[in-house]
Parts: sequence; C-alpha cells; structure tokens
Amino acid sequence: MVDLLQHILNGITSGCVLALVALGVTLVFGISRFASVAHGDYVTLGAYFALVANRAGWNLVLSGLVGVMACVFFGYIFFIFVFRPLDRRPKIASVIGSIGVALVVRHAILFIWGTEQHSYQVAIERGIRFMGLMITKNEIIIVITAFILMAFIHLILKKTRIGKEMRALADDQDLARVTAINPLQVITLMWILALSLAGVAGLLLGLKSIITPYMGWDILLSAFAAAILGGIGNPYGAMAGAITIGVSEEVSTMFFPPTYRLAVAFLIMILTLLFRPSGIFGQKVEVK
Amino acid sequence: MFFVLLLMALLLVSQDNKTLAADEIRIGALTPLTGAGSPYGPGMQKSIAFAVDEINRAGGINGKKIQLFTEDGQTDPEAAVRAAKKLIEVNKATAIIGTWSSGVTMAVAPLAINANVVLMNTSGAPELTTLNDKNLVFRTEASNVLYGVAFSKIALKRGYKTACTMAFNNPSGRGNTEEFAKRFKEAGGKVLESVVYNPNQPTYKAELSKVLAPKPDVIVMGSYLPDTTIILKEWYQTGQPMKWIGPAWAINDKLIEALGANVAEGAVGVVTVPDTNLPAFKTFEMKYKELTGQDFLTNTYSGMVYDHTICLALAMVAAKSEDPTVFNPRIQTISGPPGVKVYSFEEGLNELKKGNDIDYDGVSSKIDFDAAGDVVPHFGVFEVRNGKRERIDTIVIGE
Amino acid sequence: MASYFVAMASIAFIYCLLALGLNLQWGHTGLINFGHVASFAIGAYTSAILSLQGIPVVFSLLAGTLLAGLAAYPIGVITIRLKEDYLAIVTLGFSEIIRLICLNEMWLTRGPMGLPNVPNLFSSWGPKTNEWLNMIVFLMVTVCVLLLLQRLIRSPFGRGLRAIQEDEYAAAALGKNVVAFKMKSLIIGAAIAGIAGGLYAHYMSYIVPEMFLPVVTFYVWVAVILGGSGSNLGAILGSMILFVFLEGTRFLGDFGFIVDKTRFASLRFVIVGLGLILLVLYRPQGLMGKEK
Repeated sequence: MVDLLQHILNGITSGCVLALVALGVTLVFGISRFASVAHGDYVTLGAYFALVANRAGWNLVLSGLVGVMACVFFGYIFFIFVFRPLDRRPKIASVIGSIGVALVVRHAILFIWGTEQHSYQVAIERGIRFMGLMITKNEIIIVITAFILMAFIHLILKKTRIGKEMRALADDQDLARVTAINPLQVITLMWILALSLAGVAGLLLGLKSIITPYMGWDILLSAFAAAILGGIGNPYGAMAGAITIGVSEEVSTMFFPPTYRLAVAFLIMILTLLFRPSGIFGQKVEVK
Repeated sequence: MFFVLLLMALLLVSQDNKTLAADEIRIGALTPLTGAGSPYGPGMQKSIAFAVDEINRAGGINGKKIQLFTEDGQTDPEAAVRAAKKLIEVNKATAIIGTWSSGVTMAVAPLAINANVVLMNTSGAPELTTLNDKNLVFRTEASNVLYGVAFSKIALKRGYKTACTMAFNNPSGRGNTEEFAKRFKEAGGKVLESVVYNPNQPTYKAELSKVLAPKPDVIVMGSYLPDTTIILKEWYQTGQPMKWIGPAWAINDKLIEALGANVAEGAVGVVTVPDTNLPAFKTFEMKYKELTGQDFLTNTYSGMVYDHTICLALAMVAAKSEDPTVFNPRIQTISGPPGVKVYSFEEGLNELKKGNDIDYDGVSSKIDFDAAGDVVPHFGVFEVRNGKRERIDTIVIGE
Repeated sequence: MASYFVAMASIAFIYCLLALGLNLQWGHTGLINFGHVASFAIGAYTSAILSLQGIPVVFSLLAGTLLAGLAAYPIGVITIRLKEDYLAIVTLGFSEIIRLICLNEMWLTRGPMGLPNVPNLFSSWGPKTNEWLNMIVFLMVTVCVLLLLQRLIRSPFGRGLRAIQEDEYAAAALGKNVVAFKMKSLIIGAAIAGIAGGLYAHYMSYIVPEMFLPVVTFYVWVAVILGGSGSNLGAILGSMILFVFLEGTRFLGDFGFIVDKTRFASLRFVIVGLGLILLVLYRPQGLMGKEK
C-alpha cells in the first residue's frame, strides 16, 4: 500500500513538471491551433540558459528567470519570423515550421554547449520522510511552483480582460476576430505565457534529473499525450492530464515491466478518449 | 531537380576521388556526433584524428600518408548506413573506425563485409563474435559477456551474497547484467531482482524501488552516464545504504562531478584500461585532455578507437599492403603475443622494420584480438573514495 | 561512386513509398495520421521474421503488407470518430506502443538486439548486382504504387474521397458511407507503408526498433507537405527533396568549414532545420500543391 502511495507521489511530482510543458503546448494549440513540436526544445533552451547563469554563481531562482527570459526572447523571435507569417495558412504548415524550429534549437544547443551532460550547482540531499513515504525538497519546490503557476494562469484567464479575450479566441477564432479583440495582443501574451512555462519547466526538469541537449525532446510526446488527455486547449485539463500520465506511468511499473511504462500511459490516454472523446475536461468533440 | 543537380555538383567539387591518389590511404571515422552516443562521439573522432596525425608524422604507412574522412553516425542505424556508404563508395575508405552503438555496427557490418572494408567498432552486441565477417570486423569493447564476468568476480571477492541488477535496454546493458547474474548464481550468489529500463527518462524511481526493495548487498549496473547519474541521485535521496558496481563509461569522473563526493562514495567501476603508468598512456591522456578538456577515463571509447587506428596502421605495415583482404590477419598478429611489446605506432614501426613480430598493447587495453576479432582484456577495478577514483584491483579473465 | 547513388536512390524510394501512403491518408482523405511509422515497422518486422523462418521473401513481403494494412483497422475504428486533433496523438501513441512491443518482446523480435541476417531479395546474385536489382525493384514498386494511386484517385472511390474532403456532411447526406471511405484509405495507406517496411528490412538485412522512432513519421510528413498535399507526384518530389536535404548536407562538411568536423555535425542539422523553415515559409502549400 505504501508502495502504491509512493508511486502515486512520484507520479505527481514528475507529472507537475510535465504539466508545465503540457500547459504551454495546450495554450499554443488553443489559440494558434497547431501542435508546437518545438516546445520540448524550448524547455531545453530554458534549462541551458539557466545553467549559464547558475555557473556564473547566481542562485536557482535568478537562474530560472534568465532561462525564462531566454525562452521568451528566442521563442518570440520564432513566432515573428515563422509562425505569424504562417498564421493564415493550413495549420500543418505551422507544424512543419515547428519541426524545423525544433531541429534548429536543439542542434544550436548541441553546437554551442556540446554533447556532455550538465547539472546545476545544487547539493544532493536525502529526502524527507513522512508516514512511510519520501519526498525531496526539490520535489516539494516543483509541486508548489507548478501549482502556483497554474493558479496564476487561472487568474489571468478568468479575471483579466486579456484573459477573457484569450478564451474567446480559443473558443471561436473567426467570431473573436470580428469583435474589438486585438488578436495580436492576445497571441503575444499567449506566447509569453507558453514560453515562460517552458522556461520554468526547463529549470525544474534540469533540477530533478540532468541537463542534456535532448532533455526536452525526450518528454515532448508525454506532454502532448497529457494535453490531449486533458482536452486539447484546456489549461486545467493539461495539468490534470499530466498528473494522470505521470501517476499511471509510475503505478504501471507495479504490474508491467518498466520498459512498457510509456505504452501504458498511451494506452490509458487512448482508452480515456474512447469513452470520453473530448478528453477529461475537453470541449464536446464533434462525433460523426 | 535543382537539388539533385546541386548535390551532384557538391559531390564532384568536394571529392577528388576519381582516381585514388597512389600515395594515400583513406580511412573513415564514423562516430556518434549527434544522438544518444553524442557524449562519446566527438572525443572518439578526435582520438582517431590524433592517431592518424601521429602515424603521418612518423612517416605514414609503407611511405603513404593517411587521409581521414569523418562522418556522423547519428546513433541512428539508417543514417549510419548512408554515411558508411558514402565513406566506402565516395571516399574509397579501406577501413571504418568508431561505430559505437550495436544497432549502428550491426547495420553497417554487412556493407563493410561486402565491400571488403575493415570495420572496427566499440559495440557490445554478442552477435559480433559469431558474425561471418571474413575477419574484417574487430572490436575493442570487450563483449558484454566479459564485463558480466568481471562484475561477478568483484562481487564474489567482496563477499556479497545477494545482488540486484539494473540494465539499460540495449545489447550492452542487457548482456553485462545477464552474464553477471549467470556467473553470480553459478558461484552460489542470489540475484533477487533484475530490472531493465528504457533510456531517455527524466526519472528512474520506479525501477530503482524494485531493486532497492529486496535490500541486496550490491546493485550491478549495465548503464550509461546520464541514467546512472539520475539513478544514483534518486537512490541517495532514499537514504538506503547500498553498494554499486558498473562500467567505467558510467562510473567515472563526470559522474563524481555531477553527484558530488558524498553520493558517489563507494561506487565501484570496471575498466579495461591497463597500467596507467606507461608513457604512451600518459601521452594519450594529456593529448585527450588538450583536445577535449575532458579526462580520457570518462570516455574510454576514445582510447579504444585510438588503438583501433594504431592497430590498423601496424597491420598494414606488417603486411606491406593496404588491401584489407591481405593485411587483415595481421591485425591479430600485431596485437597479440608472441612478439616484442610495443606501446605506440612509432615503436611498432621500428620493431617491424627490424623484422620482429610485435604485440601492441594500447591505451584502452592490452588489445589481443582473437580469431573472432574480439578482445579479452584485463579489467581494472576502481572505487570512488573521497571524490576520487582509486584503483584497487585487476581482474584477469580466465583465472 | 555509382554504388553510392544506387544505394541512396534505393533508400529514397522507400521514403517515396512512405510518403505516397501518407498522402493517400492525409492529402486525399484528410486524416492526420502521426503513427505512420507503425505500419512501416509492422511491414518490416513481419517480413523479416517470416523470411528468417524460411518463408520465401515474396510471401513474407506480402504478409507484411497485409498485416500492416490490417493493423490499421482497429486504429481506424477507434480514431475515425475523433476530431482531427485527437487523431494525431492517438496514432502517435499507437506507433509508440508498436515500437515498445518490438523492443520488449524478445522472443518475437529479439528486442534491442535486432534481427540480423534478414535475407536480401537477391542474395544469391552477388553484392554489386544485388544493389542494382534492389534499386530497380524499389523503383518499379514505387512507380506501380504511384500508378495504382492515380487510378484510384480517378475512380469512384477517389471521387468519393474528394467529396468527403470538400464537405463531409454533404457527402454523408448524399449517402456516402464516410467512415468506410476513411477506413479504406487508412488501410491502403498503411499497406503501402507495409510494403516499404518489408523492402527496407530485406535491403538493410538488419532491423532494430530504433529504426522506427516517431521522428520517421515526422520526416514523412515533411516530405508530403513540402511536395504539396494531395499530389502523389508531389509526395515523391517532396521525399526526394527531404532526402537530398538529410543526406546532401553531409557534403557541406567536406568543404573544410570554419568549424571542426565534430561540431559541424550539429551545425548540419541547424541547416536542415533552417532549410525546412525557409521552404515552408516560401511555399507553404508545397511545391506541387494548390494555393489555398
């Protein structure tokens, strides 16, 4: 029983990191309507810039901020030069563009920082034990950060004017465009949010595991699965989906060989969609 | 259409290979410069280049200089096949050195064999021993089986009675740990749990909990650096005391750097590198540090491919021929006994000129290629103490 | 030298077949299938396993093709009713499940060890002749599939597909069984990928699960889009362009660039990525596609 609870706890912490990436992906999808395949590599970008700051002696929070700023800066440049021009085109063109951006970012990182692995200068400590379970300080930070960011996004979406405009644009693009909503403003904010989330995810992922040029790309699939599971375009769904994926991967190892864990996560996603085609929290999907 | 023309133009311009320059020997370096093997690839390529440099400065082979062509294997079998094809057909390489992952080597081997090109690799797949390869495929990573034997000898020597294993899901990882389990059990030990894990995960907690739960005396790893770093980090957080044994490409200075002395304390690593007091070893170690900024022992594959290149060159000199079908048996003869022990190309060259047989011992191991093109090295054992690796033992297979 | 071109052409034809299959599913039917590599893998493994058991290559290839097509059926059943956004990730999930099965079921596929010694189509003819014959066969198969697809597009089936693409509801209202059309398209496209897989396995003579990662699907998508969705010739053209990009860029390294060889490797993919971006910006409808 304790075993199961520990796996669930582990799943929640890894799910929280995944949630930040899934959130970013779902925001881009909800508003710009394409799959941001480069998102994993934005995460990697954030982790590496945070590393540069950390190496210079800055603490983790400041380093994380540097990572976030780098993500927003470069991500926005890609938006201006690649995704905005493709906006009126079939969405698949943006996906191809995103594949190109992903290759560029990942290999630019490889080129600049090389192929070795890196870590932040943080001492590794024993975990904290409570009620037979164990959690580390870093994991507590990760969970709290994820929830704070989630709450922050929630507040923006529900309480601010621009947040409402974002929801309107996500709901019905054409209708929103004929109102007084300034789509460029909304889309800009969306990208800033999605990229910032990627930057934070990079720092947290680098903290939890290690920093390599492929770190973001390696979790991209799970992030997309999480976003879809939660209902693509739905931010709360992304969080719920990510934690579900994280937990199901961990718990699956109790019953299946660990080398199948990703398959189990996908299977759960597929089965959920069979019975709830809109995802856990998604909008009602047209069923033919 | 324009692109096809562009490609052809590029080809014609870049390679002056219409007539094979009579005073040149061509070798291809095919290492994982990108992809999963990329932590090792660049260092490997630089080591091959360094060896070629040394050989050329000593006068070359049979009066001819070596030209080195470099391609990226991408740790991707299909891409590596295309790269190998280019090296063989466009660059006319007589040997390809440095394929790292078993998938890549197994995919490239048929090409090399069909084209009578020597393939020297650092892969662990067991099939490479029994491959019908016309004596063209050689490797200096001991077949995984041997690492497993070494692991079990160490475990038994230390009096461990129970063990668990964790294996990276590839031929190396599985091979190492399966052989360990077999030998350990034969000698009376108990293997309580064996876990295989997939690479590229950000966490291995679930896999770790399976091997920690039965509280074994030791956990034996068939792993690589990134996963080992994460696993040991997550293990330390649990606070459970444990002993670890693993291969040197996982348990090395980079691991200590990533984890810190506390976490890495007591970890035991196994390496095929011989006596590190030899001048040739020291020269290579210094040069490697100069070329890459890293310690050679964090990338023992680089030493292996350095040795490959030297062995290749010495074999060509011994046979007075650059034709793989002619010189290939010499790869075995110059690398193993009987013969005068030599530790560098220049030494080997001098002895061969005098008409002596030689036995080249390299920086990665004593390199005695057997009939199957495999190597049975001695294993050096080291333990991490106070943040440093200390050599504590040597294991000779067959004792 | 010619041998290099022959080999590259052979592999390029495999990409063409994959793109033709995907183009039927996406370009002609609008199905966002991101699990294409699964059909490729099923074709490859089936043919490899059967031929290693002694079954003649022709039959094992056929089996691979059929199995790949049939495997698309349950996926179709599950996903055809879903909105397109969901189809993508579900098919992607499916392809990963297939790959993980290939990776784990050692008794069937030897997992990460891979399957060596897969018999070549023309093993007994000697390596050089073998190469040329392989390429000619691949070329012929590609041309056949192309011609069959062109016939299919002009047939009532093709007209039905076009009607569904234009307006699904109108087509349904006119009595067309939309689901059946989509399923057929999915299955035929998958079968084509299955042929590609089988031919690939015998050509490489060694297959291993890491040859069937999702990135293959991504590359095939790039080929189809670059060529222009809906155009079979475009799919072939796009594959050729993609292939030249992936393979041709290696020659840039031989110009003794400003960076050393090891770092050129990563620069090369920056160039590939930039190339993709430029191509899609310059002609987002693809080279043979129509302006939308």
